[in-house]
Amino acid sequence: MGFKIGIDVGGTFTDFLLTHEDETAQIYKVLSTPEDPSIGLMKGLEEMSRDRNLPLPKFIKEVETIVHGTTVTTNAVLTYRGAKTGLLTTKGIRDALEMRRGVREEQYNNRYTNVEPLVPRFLRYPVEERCDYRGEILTSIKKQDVHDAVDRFNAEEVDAVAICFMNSFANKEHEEVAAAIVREKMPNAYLTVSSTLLPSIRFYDRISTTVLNSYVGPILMNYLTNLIRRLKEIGFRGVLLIMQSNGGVVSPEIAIDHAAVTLLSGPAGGPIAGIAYTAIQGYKDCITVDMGGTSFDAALIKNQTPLVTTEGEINRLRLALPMLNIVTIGAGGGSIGWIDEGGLLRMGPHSAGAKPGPVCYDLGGELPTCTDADLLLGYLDKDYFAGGKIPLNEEKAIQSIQTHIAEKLKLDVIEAAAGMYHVINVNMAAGVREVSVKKGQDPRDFPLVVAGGAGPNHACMIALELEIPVMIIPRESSIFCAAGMLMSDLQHNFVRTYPIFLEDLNLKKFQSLFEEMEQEGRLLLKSEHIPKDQIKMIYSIDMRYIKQYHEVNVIITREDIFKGKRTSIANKFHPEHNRLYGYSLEEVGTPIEVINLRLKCIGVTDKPKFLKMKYRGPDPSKAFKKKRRVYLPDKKTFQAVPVYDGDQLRYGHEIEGPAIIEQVNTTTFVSPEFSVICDAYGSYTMVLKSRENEFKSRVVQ
Amino acid sequence: MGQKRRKFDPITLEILWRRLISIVDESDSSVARTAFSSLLRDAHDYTCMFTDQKGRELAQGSFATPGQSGAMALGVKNLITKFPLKMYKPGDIFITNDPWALAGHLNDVCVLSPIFYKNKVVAFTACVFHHSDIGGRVSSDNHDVFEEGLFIPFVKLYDGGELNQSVMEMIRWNVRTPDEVVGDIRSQIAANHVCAEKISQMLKENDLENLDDLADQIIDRTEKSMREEIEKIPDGVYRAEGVIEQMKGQQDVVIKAAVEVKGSDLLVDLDGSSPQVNWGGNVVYNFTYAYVFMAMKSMFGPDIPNNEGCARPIKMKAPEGSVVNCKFPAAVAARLVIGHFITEIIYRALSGVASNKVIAASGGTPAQMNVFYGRRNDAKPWHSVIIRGGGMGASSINDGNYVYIFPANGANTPVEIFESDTPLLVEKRELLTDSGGPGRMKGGLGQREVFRIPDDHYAPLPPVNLGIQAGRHLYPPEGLFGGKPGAKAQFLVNGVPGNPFGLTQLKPGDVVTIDAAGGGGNGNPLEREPEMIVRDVLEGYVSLEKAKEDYGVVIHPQTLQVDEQETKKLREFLKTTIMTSKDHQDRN
Repeated sequence: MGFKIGIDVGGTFTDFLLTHEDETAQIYKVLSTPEDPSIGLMKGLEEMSRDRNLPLPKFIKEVETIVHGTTVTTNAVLTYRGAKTGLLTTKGIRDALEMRRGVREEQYNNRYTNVEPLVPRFLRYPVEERCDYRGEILTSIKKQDVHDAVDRFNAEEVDAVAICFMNSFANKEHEEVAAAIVREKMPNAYLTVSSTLLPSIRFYDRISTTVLNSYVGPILMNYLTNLIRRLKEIGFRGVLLIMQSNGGVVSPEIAIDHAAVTLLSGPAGGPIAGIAYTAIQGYKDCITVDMGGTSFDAALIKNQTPLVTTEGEINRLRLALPMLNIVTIGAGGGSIGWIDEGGLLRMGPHSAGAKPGPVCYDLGGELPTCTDADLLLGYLDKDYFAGGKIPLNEEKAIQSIQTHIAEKLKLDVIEAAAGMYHVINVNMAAGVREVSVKKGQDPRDFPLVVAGGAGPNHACMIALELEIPVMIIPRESSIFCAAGMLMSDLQHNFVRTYPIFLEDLNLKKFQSLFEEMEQEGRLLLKSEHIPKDQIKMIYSIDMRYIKQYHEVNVIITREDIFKGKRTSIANKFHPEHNRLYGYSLEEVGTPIEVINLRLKCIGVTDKPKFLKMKYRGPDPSKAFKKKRRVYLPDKKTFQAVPVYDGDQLRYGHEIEGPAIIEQVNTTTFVSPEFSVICDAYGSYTMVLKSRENEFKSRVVQ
Repeated sequence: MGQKRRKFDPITLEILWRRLISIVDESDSSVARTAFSSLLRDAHDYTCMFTDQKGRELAQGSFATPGQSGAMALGVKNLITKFPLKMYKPGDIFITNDPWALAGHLNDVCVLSPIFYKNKVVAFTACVFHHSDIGGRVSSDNHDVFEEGLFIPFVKLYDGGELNQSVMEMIRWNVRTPDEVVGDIRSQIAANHVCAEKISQMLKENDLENLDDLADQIIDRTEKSMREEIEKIPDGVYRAEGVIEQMKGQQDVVIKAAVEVKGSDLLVDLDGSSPQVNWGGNVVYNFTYAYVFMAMKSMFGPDIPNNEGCARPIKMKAPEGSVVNCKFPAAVAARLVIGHFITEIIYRALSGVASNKVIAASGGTPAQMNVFYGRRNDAKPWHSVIIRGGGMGASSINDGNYVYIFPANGANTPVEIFESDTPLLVEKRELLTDSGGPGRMKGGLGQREVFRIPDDHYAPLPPVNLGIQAGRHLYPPEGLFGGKPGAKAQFLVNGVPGNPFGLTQLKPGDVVTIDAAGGGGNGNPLEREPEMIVRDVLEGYVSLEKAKEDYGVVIHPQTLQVDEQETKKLREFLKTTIMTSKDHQDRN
């Protein structure tokens, strides 16, 4: 058996998790190389081979899988550096891309600015053609319009083309006619056809997604082609998989055609990792949070399935492909503390980033950050940051908090630091509420999986704020997403719009639409070498009560579809609406409308096996390092608390809060309300002392 | 109890404040997800808020439309304080749509609940919702409020937890779409529940008896930030007036505003404004105040979360019986047609002393509202509402944006959803070239929308009814500081101007064209950077001809290069001619 490697390219670091059946998983981190991310990636692989005293080609031959999360597409959109794209659209509505939904997101801002469309108006070409929402053609396509547009695109040296016609979810004929002309006359252009990518109703959603796909397509294609070539050159013969925003992985060939599926692939590994780490203790639900340098990501997992949304946005542009519902807020180690006009303390969303970084890094940062406050409060050790590789300058941190926060609020410097710590924790708790309470879920029912370099230091406070009794901190928490990528299955999503009252549903059509999607799914998975018995299909329908705007996605079974029972479908809709919104209209007899049919096709992959530890009993004294003074928020004073070496903690070891657990890349603060027990895979499980009995038995079985 | 006042340190205050806002946003999103009426879900035309036990607004949903949110703050306070606190029982829920008490028309239905904690009223939560139908005659040209639909006074919908079925039945039998309306009322009740539960929880967790001390401090802080900004404006009385077109044969409505700035206090006096009109354009005091408030908030504190503190420095006087403070039983259904103008009149009044904070007049003032309804070919009824924005006025530092409703807010109806909901076809929804008012900063573009009523086998039964609320068909949105007006609005049926005030009856085969106005420009168009004009021309925002005529920029039609010499010459010439005509005016 060979190695499996998860690789997560972030803004500052590229994280690697190297796993092998017979070894403990190993973490690697190298500095990212934004100009060409594959450089950093290759550097990491070299480091791994060096550690094993193997020449690179020899090591790489033993690697059977690489799963890769990339931000090249994300960055292309955020910095407007995508491909030069041309758009063909129905005459009369070419400005839909620019007009968006027409909401001013900032209510009281009278100088509100438009979002710059990814395709300028002069490259948006109207084509005479029209069909209605039933799919009936009202005006045949005028091919000359397409030819004229393509000639202009060629003259303008356009690299990518998007085609999106009105009501094409119901009839793709015209889009295909146009696509054939584009393929013929622009053989090198990257092409996206809306009825292939996303055949669902809502024009702006579809056109925006189609354009995004073309805009980032050539970028992803160049990057992956280059990466595949490099890997081949050094002798890689295994499988390369790409992380998608939906939490699944996909082969690079398919990713290139559907480039937009990678737009938010960065944090998508997190929730998947959360599922794996909590499953060990028998949980099916959890909330994952990941606190890095600049941002905090939160996601909710129910029944081992992360919540998914089709109403996502990137840079205020609509992306309607299914993606994990991850809430990102500007809270991280680098978040800057400041006083607003009203005299209140605020944290973030501005971040000192990696450069100049927190004041205590002594790299020129002057504004006080969360990391500086953590240092003052003793949660970080100035001599053991990054395992002692980065010495921290405490003097400068004190000075900065004194000047920028304490003096302005008339507090002493420790009170100010404690305030910063508290405010950012409340902000993060609000982020967790966003994914839980706002979706009708009670956070107290979920274990909280805490990750990211800065996360474990703040975990207890977030949990207390939300009354969450149990937290799981994976030993690999600093490279959480890379771990998640290795645990992801292949996934393809399909959608067909079929707007009709449930009672009028034409079963034949209904079934054939699902069959069509099944077939497409099987074909794709076949191309990815997934055997039939490893394929899972998940069927669902977006439904609503007549005239509601938002649909509820309801999972159904294959039987519901092919045994033709409308009532069983209705019976699944009412309780789901009730669960989400607190009422159903079953007894009133309000008609149900079907909007979209969806299919999720999963190709189950082999997961890395983590080495299980031997039970070593509760005594952690072998891991004890020393005592250190830390700030206890409940008592508002410092106290000397024991510090443990996290890497020395073993299955069964128990620690009473208050305490500190140190690892090279993370520090965990255990507040007095919690105790810790190390599980069989090395995760630190923090449990509210008052409820220890409920949760301890799950850890030690 | 209640004697010792609790003082919150800045950190705790910040935390509790965020918490209050997130509570309201939670109830807000519960409404958003469950709403039925298209208007509401698309236009986000609803407001959740809560007040302390004195009726002082503490927080409201982040997306509340300004008209409702401003009016509600006043309205809820008035309602609550009408009764002594001991009159309220746990489980009580009130309902009303009294336009004078609330947001100015019958469609806005408010559901209000007292929140109890430790057996005492600690807060009130209210949710106002723009219902798509409230019965009555759907048209702007009604003569009194009785024609406009069902009037629900302040009554108990739930009495101590018990539903008052007769009230619900009364509503159900007076509206065209009972399932939708009743469904939406249920959403409102659910939203209040969410809010009440969370507030009690917050009080308990933070060991508070009530919200009073917290309210004092939040409101004071907010007030202070508003006042600091207002103080920067020199004292004085600043005047402006606005002329608003009326239907054929009627006199224009004039709104006069005198804005007195005195230290950090603002007093807006609307004395001299036209008397109330005999159609639905009348505005109640609360709604007028809401758009005065919108003007001030956008100028002096756009980022501050809304609560009573924002409104404290802003006072308003409006003569009773005038169009901006109409008396019962005036018709009020189309109050936005006049009410939305208040903001730009205030901007104009203060433009001389706060030139960087105001924008030119907007094409989305007023919002355009189209109500389409009729019967399909199988006689089934259909009904859909479209709201539409235009170009925003330009500011001194950026072009006006598009296409937005301003000072109100709201989303357009997605074209494919509209077509699948109705028997109509949307043939066009596009930006209108040259509709932005010329200026150093250009006004935002307006848009054109074209609807066709099919005459094939899907043709609906005649008539197809179209009710319109709109404006700017006669007078365009004006520019500022030498900027020119934006393009006017238009309403055409089969190419012939229709009546944008009444109800229009259409038949299969008809084509309706509706233009929303462009925004006014800001500054002299001859000072606009020629490079910006080149981009405008390339993108089709400005035509070659208008580039020359309005901006004095000569661009080569093929290469799209600026002819610098010609441009210089033309600009010089245009400057002198404008100067001469101005001299001429001055002398007269």
